[in-house]
Amino acid sequence: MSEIDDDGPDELPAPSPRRGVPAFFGVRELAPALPRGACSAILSGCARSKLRGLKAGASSRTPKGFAPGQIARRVRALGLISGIALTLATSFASPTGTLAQAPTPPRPKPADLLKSAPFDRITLIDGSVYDVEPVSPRPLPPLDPKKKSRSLAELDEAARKAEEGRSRRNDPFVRKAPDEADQFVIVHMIEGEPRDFKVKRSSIKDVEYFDDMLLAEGDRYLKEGDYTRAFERYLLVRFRDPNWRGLDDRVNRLLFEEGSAALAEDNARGLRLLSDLAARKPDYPGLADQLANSYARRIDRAFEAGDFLVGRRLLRELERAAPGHTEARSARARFLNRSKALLDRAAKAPPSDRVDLLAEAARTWPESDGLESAYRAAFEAEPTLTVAVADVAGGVGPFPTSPASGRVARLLYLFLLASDDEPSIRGEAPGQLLTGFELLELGKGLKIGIRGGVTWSDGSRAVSSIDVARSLADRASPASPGYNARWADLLDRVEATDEAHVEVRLTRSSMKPEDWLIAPVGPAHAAADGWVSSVGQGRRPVGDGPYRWESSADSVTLLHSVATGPDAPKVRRIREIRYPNPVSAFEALQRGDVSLLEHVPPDRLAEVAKDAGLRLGRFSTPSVHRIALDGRTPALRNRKLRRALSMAIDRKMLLEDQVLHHPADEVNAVSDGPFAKGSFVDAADVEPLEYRPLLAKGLVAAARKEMGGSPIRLTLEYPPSPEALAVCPKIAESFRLIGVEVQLVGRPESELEAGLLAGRRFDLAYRASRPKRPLLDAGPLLVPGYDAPTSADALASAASPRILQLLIQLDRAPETTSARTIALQVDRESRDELPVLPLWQVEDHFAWRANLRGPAEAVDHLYQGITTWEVEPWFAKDPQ
Amino acid sequence: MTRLAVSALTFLALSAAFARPQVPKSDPIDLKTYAIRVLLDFDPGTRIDAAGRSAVLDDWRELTARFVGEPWAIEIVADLGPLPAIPIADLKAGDLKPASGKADKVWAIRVRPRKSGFALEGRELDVSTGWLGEVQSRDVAHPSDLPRDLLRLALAMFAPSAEVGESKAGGVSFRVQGGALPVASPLGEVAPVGSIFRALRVFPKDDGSTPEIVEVRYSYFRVERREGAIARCEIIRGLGDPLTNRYARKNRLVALGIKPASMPTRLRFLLKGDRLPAAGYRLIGRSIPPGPRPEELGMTDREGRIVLAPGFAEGLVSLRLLAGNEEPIVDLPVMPGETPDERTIIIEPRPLTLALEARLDALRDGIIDVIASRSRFEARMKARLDGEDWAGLDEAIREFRKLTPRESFEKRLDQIRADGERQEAESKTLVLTRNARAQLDETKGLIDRYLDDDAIRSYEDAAQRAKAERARPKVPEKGARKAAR
Repeated sequence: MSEIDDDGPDELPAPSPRRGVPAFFGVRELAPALPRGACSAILSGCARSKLRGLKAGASSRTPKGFAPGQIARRVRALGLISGIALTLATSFASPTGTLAQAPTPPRPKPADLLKSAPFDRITLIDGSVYDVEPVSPRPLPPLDPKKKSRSLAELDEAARKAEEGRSRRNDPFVRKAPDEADQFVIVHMIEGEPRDFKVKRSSIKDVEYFDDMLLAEGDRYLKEGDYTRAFERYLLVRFRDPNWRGLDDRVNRLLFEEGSAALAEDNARGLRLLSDLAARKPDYPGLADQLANSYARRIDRAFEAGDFLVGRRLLRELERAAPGHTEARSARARFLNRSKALLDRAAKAPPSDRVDLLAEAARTWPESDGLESAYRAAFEAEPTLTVAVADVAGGVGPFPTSPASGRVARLLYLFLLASDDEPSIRGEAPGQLLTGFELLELGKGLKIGIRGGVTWSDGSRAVSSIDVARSLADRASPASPGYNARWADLLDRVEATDEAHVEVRLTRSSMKPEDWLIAPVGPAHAAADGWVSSVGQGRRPVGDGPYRWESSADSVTLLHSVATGPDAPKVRRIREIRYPNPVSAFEALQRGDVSLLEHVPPDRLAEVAKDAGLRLGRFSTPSVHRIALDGRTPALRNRKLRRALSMAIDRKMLLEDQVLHHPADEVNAVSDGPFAKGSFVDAADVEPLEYRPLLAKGLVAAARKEMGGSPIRLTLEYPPSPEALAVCPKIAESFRLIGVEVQLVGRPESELEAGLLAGRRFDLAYRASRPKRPLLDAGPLLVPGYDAPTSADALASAASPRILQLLIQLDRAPETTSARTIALQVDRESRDELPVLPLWQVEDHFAWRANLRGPAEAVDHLYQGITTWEVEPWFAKDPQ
Repeated sequence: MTRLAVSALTFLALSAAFARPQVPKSDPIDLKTYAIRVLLDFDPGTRIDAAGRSAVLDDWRELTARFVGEPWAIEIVADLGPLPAIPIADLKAGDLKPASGKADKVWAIRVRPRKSGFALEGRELDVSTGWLGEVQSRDVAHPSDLPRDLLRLALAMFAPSAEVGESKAGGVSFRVQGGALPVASPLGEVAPVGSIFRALRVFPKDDGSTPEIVEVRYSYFRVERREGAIARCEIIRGLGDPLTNRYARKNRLVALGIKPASMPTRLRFLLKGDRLPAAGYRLIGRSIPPGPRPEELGMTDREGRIVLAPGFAEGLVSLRLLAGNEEPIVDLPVMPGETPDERTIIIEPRPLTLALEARLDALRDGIIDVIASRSRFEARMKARLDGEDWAGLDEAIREFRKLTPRESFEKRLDQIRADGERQEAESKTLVLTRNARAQLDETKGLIDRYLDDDAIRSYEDAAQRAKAERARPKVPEKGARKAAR
């Protein structure tokens, strides 16, 4: 083996493999079994003989009797024989290695090629295998196949001929084309000393490149279905050489197989992979069918779910990926047919349904022929406002029990008193029944004037004093759904003195008796729930407001206006639609499926502001968020436990990180008590509630000891509002960390609120409300069942008896000044008594599309001023 | 002649004396049997025929003889009068009076059918006072159990009578009718230890008509021990002195036994002054004699009312009305179901006391928080000291000193106390009630016991010493000094 000293590899003329000089000169170069001295001797002998041959050739003097090359040949043969003899002798003498040029068994390949240093494995023509550092160039230029496959004898003959035609060394007039077979390749061994060698290209039988090893390994993983590992190998090859042979095909194959396999479990991912393949190689065998089938399934699912926008988008993608495919044509037809069927139905439907059917057709396929014109015509006849709401009204009637039913009640009924402002009390405000209001007997009597000329929606008669008297009396009757315990305690008697006047006698003077008149009035001829049975129409709520109730299903409420004349609402129909979650409701607004969104999640406000097609409004009173406690749960009577629960909540973090997604400010801020910051009953000297989880844990341990040591398990009920969805799991986790197990129970908002107001039992409940009249609202704010009948034992649900008694004192306050003093005391003492766990207050927003005109930017309730709103027809079209 | 006249006169006198009819000597009350007339009405729906009824009654009488014996002399009355037509709960004393005759008690009992078995209801009329007891009831699972359950009903209905004797040392002696008679078994004992009596004041009418009977409310007598026929009783005082005799009219005090009845107990609390309902007040009850712990019974509604279900207690119970979180407003003993009528009690609301106690509760919360923080810091300081981590110790001391100091709490506590005293002086009403004072003292004790600064001062001293030690220049060792020379 040729050793390379520090000056660089020795460049020895390669012994010509002719005349019986076997190629094992190359073998010998790599044969590590030959001792160093022997190699030198042999090679020196060869060199000398070669030199003599050259000299002989150069001088053209040949010994007599020999042909010009004969002497050289004979010398070489002699040298060869002596070399063989010496080698044989050395190998027998040496305890290691054999002269037998048996191939060195290759070391096993590393288990994980990714972790190993790159290497190539070269196999020499004698079969020996060596692991070397990656060779260069890569791959090595291929040898002429003919040359490569020559036998030793052929090599010898070729060498002889080459010798004959050999030009003088360094003959400047002869430029011989370099024989690639004779090119040397520098290799660096992985192991052993020395490491650096050069090898003739022709001596290399085969090179197994590291990249090919990786590809092969990747192929194995691919075959096994381990796509990730296969991908890793291919990726490494790509990193080493993006153009490596075979890499592209393998990547394509990986994309196809992995994408096809993923379609079953993760269709979107599978499609993505196949789409990537389509971008690389659109004509990959089987790809178009695979894509088409997969897209078709997704399109079907979107179609079934009514998500036509997504379905159409998928259809466009399918048509791009597999143009003209039968699945694409079939899917398109499905959309078209549905849209057309709805169009046809709409043509025969009554005007009230036509708009909805055409809107649905537009949602399905907005490009249907004739759709736009039909929709516009129908819409102009019945302008319809679609509203995305958190919850539809469960019980529609004159006695609202939830925010949803309260919202709808304002559309169905005229309130006795619209608001507690001066124009309303004087009877000058529109949209109310009260025309005059007079206090009698030092506040223990009220005389109310009733507006005439308002007719009930069933056409039976005009609204009169008996309806007002009935409504006021019903609210004092425990059997009525509208029962209010405080009103029942206050009301002595009510009398309709004539058609247009009602007199009310109270048991005592009350600080603001007019507050009790801000409520809807139902018909006296209705049942207790305000519904009337009529022939041919069944039972329905009868009202006197600008809208009539049309129908209520699980997630849609329809309201309709039949008014005519210049003052009739321009929005003739209202469709309230409940979406499964706040995000889908917001997206419905963005898509244009709805024109008005009741509640914009706080973290989406910026998106609304950026969208030119949307407008943002706010409610004038911030909503106060809190966790209500039921004192009928014995554990929650324990003061230490309540304090622990309060201290376990990191209000600032939750508000800023989970609700607002921006820092708190003056309006959106952490609460220190039950009332809104800055309100006239918010005591300024109350210290903020602390976040001290370590102390909370100690308090829980102390509370448990007081209660006998049993584990504390509570339920936390919450509505699907964006704030509650964001924070309740985190609050439950905080409680768990301090030793209180909490089970989360989600409930529709209407169901939750109606149950709590009725005095139903619970443990913890997330609540949010916008208290406009804190003196009147304080009781239900702190004790959910405050106004429930006695049979519900709801007063006992007050977690703090002290606060309960203050609330009762507040109810009995004869005038506003003393009431305010008591309310401030409630605010101060609530910090330590913790009848509820205050959280924060947030400014609530609503949003509408530009096709709706009329909503004000700041309102008290969602439909404020709806009789003056206008809505134009609009539906979203697909990008062309 | 004179001798003859004297003899004749003597003879006449003696004759007159002998001619006076013999007045039988009456038994003392403790030897007097209870003559009991029983009106037992079997509802036709029970389907018990005459023979069956007779058998039941015979068995029952046998049981009464076996278990009660002499104290009861039972007479079954055949003529039920108006009883069958009147629900037991609606009976009046006048309905049963005609059937009383010379008896001491009249028992009106009805047997009626239930879904399975029978229901027994009964009331007792005490003839001498005209007092009609409350409805007692029992359910009977099987006809064969009738006699036994009738006995139990009788024992529940039976209210022993007693003469009120002298009161001394907080108690009073009763002479119980039939108390000295032998009983057939302990079950039949008249007025055993633990029995409860109510007091009735009898105002006789000058015209001899039915005297007026007035119940002494909210006061009871509990038999503590028996000394033969005399029952020594503890007075369980509710409102006022039950034994007072400050009455203009002539009257006498009698005692009648009382037991829990199967009826709701209705109470209503009104605030003194404006008589507004005491809404939102908690009611707790404790058995008499005191049981292991008081039990919360409910909360008054907006009308100040609270209804306690039948059987909420097994005997006499002391009810306590709480205002705010823990302030007792009134204590009164009550026998469950003793009357179907609603009892109205006027209470003092004490708003100033409640506000003071709310401040105290908040102060106590703050103290507890600081105590918890201090103990944590003390543990940390100890660890730093043990590990000679002087920087850490200094840091812990600094954090400790940031906590609210003891003086601040003392000042707040003194302020609360002073405010209470001032309010008392100004309003001339009791503000610092016994409970309020106890809470003030307890809070003071909390401060004294747990906010002591000895520990922190010792850590500060240790830190100072260590600091001084570190600041002192190091004196080299003796050997080293020699080497330096």
